[in-house]
Amino acid sequence: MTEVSIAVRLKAPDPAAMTALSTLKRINPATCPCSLERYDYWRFIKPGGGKVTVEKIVSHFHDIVNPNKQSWSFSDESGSLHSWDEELVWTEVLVTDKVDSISENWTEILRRNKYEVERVMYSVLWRLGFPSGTSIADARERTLALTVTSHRDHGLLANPISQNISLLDPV
Amino acid sequence: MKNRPLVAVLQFPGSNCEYETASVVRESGMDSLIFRWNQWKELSDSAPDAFILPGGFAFQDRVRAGTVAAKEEIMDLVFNQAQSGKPVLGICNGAQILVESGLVPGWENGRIESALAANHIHGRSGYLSRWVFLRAKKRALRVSPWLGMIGNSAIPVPIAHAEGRFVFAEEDLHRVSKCAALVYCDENGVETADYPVNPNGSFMNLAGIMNKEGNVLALMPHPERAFWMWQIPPWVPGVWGDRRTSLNHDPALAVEKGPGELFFRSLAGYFGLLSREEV
Amino acid sequence: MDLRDKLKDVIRERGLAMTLQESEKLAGYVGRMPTPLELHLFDTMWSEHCSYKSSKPVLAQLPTQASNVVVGPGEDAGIVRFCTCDGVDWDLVVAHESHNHPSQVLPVEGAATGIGGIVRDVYCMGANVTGSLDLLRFGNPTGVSGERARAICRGVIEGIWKYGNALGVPNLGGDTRFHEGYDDNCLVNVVALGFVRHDRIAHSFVPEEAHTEKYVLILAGKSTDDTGFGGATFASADLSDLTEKGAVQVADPFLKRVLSEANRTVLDMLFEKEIPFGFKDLGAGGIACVTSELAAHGGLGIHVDLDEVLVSIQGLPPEVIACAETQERYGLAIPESIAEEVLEIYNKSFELPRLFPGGGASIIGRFTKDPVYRVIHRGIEVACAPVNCITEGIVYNREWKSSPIPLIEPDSRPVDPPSDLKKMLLSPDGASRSPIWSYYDSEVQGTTHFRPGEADACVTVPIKGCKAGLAVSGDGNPWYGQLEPFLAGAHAVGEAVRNVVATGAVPIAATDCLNYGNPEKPDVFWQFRQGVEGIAHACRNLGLESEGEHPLPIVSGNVSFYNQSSSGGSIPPSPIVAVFGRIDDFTRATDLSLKTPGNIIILIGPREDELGGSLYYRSCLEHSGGKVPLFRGELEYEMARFVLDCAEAGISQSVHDISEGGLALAAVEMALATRKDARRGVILEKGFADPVILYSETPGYLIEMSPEDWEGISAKPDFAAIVGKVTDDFSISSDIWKLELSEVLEEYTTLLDRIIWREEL
Repeated sequence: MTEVSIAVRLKAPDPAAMTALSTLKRINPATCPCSLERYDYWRFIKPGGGKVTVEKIVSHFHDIVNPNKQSWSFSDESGSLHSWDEELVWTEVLVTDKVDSISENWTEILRRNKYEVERVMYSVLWRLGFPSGTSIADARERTLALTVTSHRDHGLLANPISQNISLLDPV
Repeated sequence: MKNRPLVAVLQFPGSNCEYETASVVRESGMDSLIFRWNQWKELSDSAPDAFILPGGFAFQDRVRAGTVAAKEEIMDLVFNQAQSGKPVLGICNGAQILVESGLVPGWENGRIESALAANHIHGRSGYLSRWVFLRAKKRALRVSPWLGMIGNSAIPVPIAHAEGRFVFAEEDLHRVSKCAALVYCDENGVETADYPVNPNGSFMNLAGIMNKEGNVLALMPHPERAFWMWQIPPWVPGVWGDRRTSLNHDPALAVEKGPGELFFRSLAGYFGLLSREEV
Repeated sequence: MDLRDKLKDVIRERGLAMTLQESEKLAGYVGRMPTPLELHLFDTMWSEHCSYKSSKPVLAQLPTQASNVVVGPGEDAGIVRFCTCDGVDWDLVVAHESHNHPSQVLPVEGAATGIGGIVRDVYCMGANVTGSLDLLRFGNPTGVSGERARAICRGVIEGIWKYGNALGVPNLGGDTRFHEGYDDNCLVNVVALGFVRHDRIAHSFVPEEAHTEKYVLILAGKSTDDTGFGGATFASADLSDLTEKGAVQVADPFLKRVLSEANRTVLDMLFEKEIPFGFKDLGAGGIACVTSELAAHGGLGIHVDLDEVLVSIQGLPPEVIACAETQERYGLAIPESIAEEVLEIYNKSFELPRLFPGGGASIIGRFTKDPVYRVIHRGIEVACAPVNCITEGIVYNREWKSSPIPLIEPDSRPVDPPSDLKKMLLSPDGASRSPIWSYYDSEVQGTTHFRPGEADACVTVPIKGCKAGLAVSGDGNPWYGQLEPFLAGAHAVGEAVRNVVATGAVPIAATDCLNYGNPEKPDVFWQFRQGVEGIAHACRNLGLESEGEHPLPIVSGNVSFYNQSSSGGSIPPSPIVAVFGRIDDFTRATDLSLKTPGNIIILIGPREDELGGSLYYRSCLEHSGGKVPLFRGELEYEMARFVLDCAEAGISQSVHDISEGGLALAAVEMALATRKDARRGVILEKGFADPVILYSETPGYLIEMSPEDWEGISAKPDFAAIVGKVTDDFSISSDIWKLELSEVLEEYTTLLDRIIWREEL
């Protein structure tokens, strides 16, 4: 397996998501989503042992997932984490620092602890829920516009100078 | 009649250095008032001569440090005043807000051209409190109202941030040196990119950048925490360390000004408040 | 079913911590089967955490009164007089608490809400909070449970910086120790301090005026949810079930900062208009506790309407709304006539509802002359109890059994100072704490003079325009606790006092947090009693401010029981004490870095053969030993007096107290603290290769002064003697051995970074 990724979310309401949503509502009332979710997103590159290894890492290091406050799942089965509001049209955007000590440090810690993982990459995954009736294409376009901070009046969730932004394919 | 220049210190939800910042401005011979984020009208009516965005955690650095505060309405006013040439200083979180509002480097109006990214240190992430040394760039000394009195030698000041690494887009790298205001260096003024001299991996060792005109300065270290000699740690090396050591147990320690005062004295000088000898 | 069976069932179903007898007592108060809200309210009120039901009779022996005490234990924080500046009297406000159990389960949030809670306790006395300290005890980071200990340590420190730094309260250090006894139960003790004008102290009860004027209760802050439900009782049960997390609160430093600013504006307005009020933060027991206590302590009743409470989750049952421990909320008792103006400040000026969706301020209750605590939900009465039963405490006289540890000393004590010192310096307990402090903001507010590590205590200059400095230190040695619980208590006071005195400050008050296992076990309760006796004994001996006339007063504190693992093993008895001192002119404060080559080093305090629990035994001999240093009260007092006299005379150039690692390590630490471009070292007197002289932790101090100043002291006390000389060589040596400090500096500075954060083992 070349990559296993997991999504992690707070069991309690995420304050950063709450502030982000209220800010978007204020600055882009016409295009903002009705719902916004935030996840920690960890990618484990080339894990020998695949999901089993990642599961072991997750249960070992409470810094990555503390089951007392967070739920997690593999990203390809993350449906269980989402608050599915069937009415809404959902998009997902992944924001990753281009240079990131967190990822580098965890790569080293795992190597030192003899886990077979080539690299760890930490990102934030935002999940945006738009009103029903929004077309997928429109939702994706809005998502990018709300994410990419290119001008003081445009965008919020990521600064493209220091962060990579990738819009994930519709599930 | 207004006899002393007024410096507005802005309080965003989550700012936490507004009081000491306002206080050192007053100690430097200027007036200073704190304006809450929603006191747009009061701020506008009082027509301040300069603006400071103080340190802290506006909106708790949610999403990204500075970005939510940059969208507050009051920033429109700051933006316009900056455009008209009024001195604007962002300290730490204030610097993050300036960068996220596109006020610095400000090559193109309102465009976001820089980021204050998370510190990049081998084996460490998160917040870092540390004393560092700074040196001002020649052009900045000349054009910035905040730096006129800094001089050429290295000055000790503390940093305290998790996101302080200046980053620029590839296509803009050729013009970054024009916005360079202050760089990290050792106590002898020598720059290196190595930790801890450069404490966060900042591009070109930048500790502060300014706009084209030089009136807006985004500064990661905290000069207000090095305003008095008694705020300087006893172990600081170099010339400022010698001064600090010589003041041990001396009542003068309570009143002698420290290196951080130079930023505020520069502004006083800019407003013509200093005598010829002082300049 | 009779009442008894019904009570038995409800205690089980609701997971209450109260005993059947306690529930029967409650049923007696209300004269019927108690409602769920009443059960939860009293479950909290009578929890160990809130009621001190086991500890109260023992705590009575602590000295809490002295001429400078304004408010002793009993309210949210203690208050002592501090200084007068430009005709204004300033008082120091201090509080000290534990957040141990939550931090073990959720290190980041546990540590964060620990700071949140203690800071609120100081704010709600009307004070500006100007400092906090964290006293941390973690498991052995390199032991069998090292992985968990390291993760908890990382998490707790993350919680402290993410919350504390954002709050804008400077971190004034504290201490961190590692001991395998904390593998299953870390300790996170937090101290907060602040200053208030003497004429502007806020109190946590509805004022006298409410008997004649209509008073209402405003709840301000975060919207109420269910996150903290059960938290107070959680702190009083053992950690056998780690799934009990609903009990841990989510902290919100950003809202807290804005709320503090709003509170300041409201309180200033009330003081300016001379309107009496009551003010109290919400902690354990949430709305139920704050409303009932504000009313009961003012001798009034209150009528609370839960439908007026701003909630973030719809459909919560009344007992959850009333007892949830949502963070960042305050209760304010004010005249109805001013309520609109106050609501305007919270909701409009500071925009709480926008910044925290759903939050804000609202009127939730009205005080009544009828002395009844009454709560309404959807028009139905869900609680009704006479207020006097709320203030009526509950007390248990626990059994205790003397259980001393037999004294076992090592068979031989080989000495090789360079190697011994390296081992001590490069152990988790001896290594530099700077990796931890590098996460803390110790300089916000711009009042800090000595940061953590620069002197034996942090020193700040907290009141603008006033030269008075505050010195603060917190201490407690778990190895002493393990070997001799009485001496652990006494030395916790002794060491914190020495740290404050070393800077030149006079101790004026102390706080304590008493961390122990299960008080129902007679041997644990004996440890607790011993610790309290030790503290009381030391405080009675160290009333330095009043020149011995009064004791050093304990003005606030906390007891934390049930610190144990699932297998029932208790933590080492851990009395932790913070001491606060005043130095009239902060420019005379002394740090610990060596200054001038040619100066001499004076040893204060003769060395004794008492190395039990010492760092030397642990690091070099892998032995705990048995004979803990005695606490010699009179000598401690005299030594402190002498150190303060030297400070006053301005002749001490650097001072360090002798504690872990003894005289030798103290000297090394003074050298390690020097400027990198002005390194200094120490040559000790001839023939120093004796473990007792070098490593004994008998209390004492090292003072650097010039030979002339030493000669100038006319009456040299017999506990003072020259032990060495300052050199410009970065080393420590005697005539027969030498350790180059440049060899260890890097490793000493980064050890904790590598072990804890990088997992390099």
